[in-house]
Amino acid sequence: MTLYGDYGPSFLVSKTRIILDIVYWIFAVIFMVGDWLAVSGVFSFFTALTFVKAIPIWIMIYELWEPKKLYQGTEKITIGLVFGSLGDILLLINGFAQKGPSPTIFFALGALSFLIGHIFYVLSFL
Amino acid sequence: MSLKILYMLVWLILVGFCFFSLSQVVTKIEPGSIMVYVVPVYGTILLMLVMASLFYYFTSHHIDNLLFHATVLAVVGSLSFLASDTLLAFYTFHPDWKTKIVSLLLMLTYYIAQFLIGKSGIKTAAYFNRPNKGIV
Repeated sequence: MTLYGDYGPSFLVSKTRIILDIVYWIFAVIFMVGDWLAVSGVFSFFTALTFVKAIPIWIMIYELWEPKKLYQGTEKITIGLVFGSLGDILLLINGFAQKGPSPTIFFALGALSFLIGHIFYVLSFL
Repeated sequence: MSLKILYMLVWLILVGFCFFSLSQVVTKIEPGSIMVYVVPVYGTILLMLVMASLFYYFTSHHIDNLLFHATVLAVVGSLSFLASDTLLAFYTFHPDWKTKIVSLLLMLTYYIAQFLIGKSGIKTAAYFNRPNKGIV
């Protein structure tokens, strides 16, 4: 059994999908490196790297675009990912807006966005 | 029968873990902040996500090899989400946990979670559209 299954529609074994998976992890690593090396309160090259935070999620949304037409549960996962990427952006804004130890309203809005995303994931599994 | 016991056991462990984590985090939140209400509600939905993925596994993993893979990916993905969001709560509200390594781990588990849940959806779609659908 391969990673994508031995049978099933062609979208499972698509070369494009494998490339997209690699790109997903490249952007994820870029964000994590930027997040690790960026210094809080100082704008630098590494701070700019953190702007790619939501890109891996957009790649996954693109990957799910074709199969979402084939199964309703996948459509709900896609909506969950959209809210997840919105949460990413709001938490990123919170990271820049937060001055003291307490998070800003953007953190609460980001949490709310993730919460809605999780509800769609729950619905996709039931 | 043994699967039902396992399901109950996992449920108890997860509820215990969530109660413990929430008790540790909520006490650190500034009194009067909206997050005092948001965090417990979020924790409940997160627990529901893990339980829903376990329900998906326990009810569907035996049907087909593709569904087995889809359900395992969903369970591991949702557990990664539980790990990621728990770390995020501790990182944000608990001063002792505000370190670079926690930040790295929470993002790593977050990307793993989104990746695996997305892949689970693709596998499920493949199952419902496989060429030999309906042939046992």
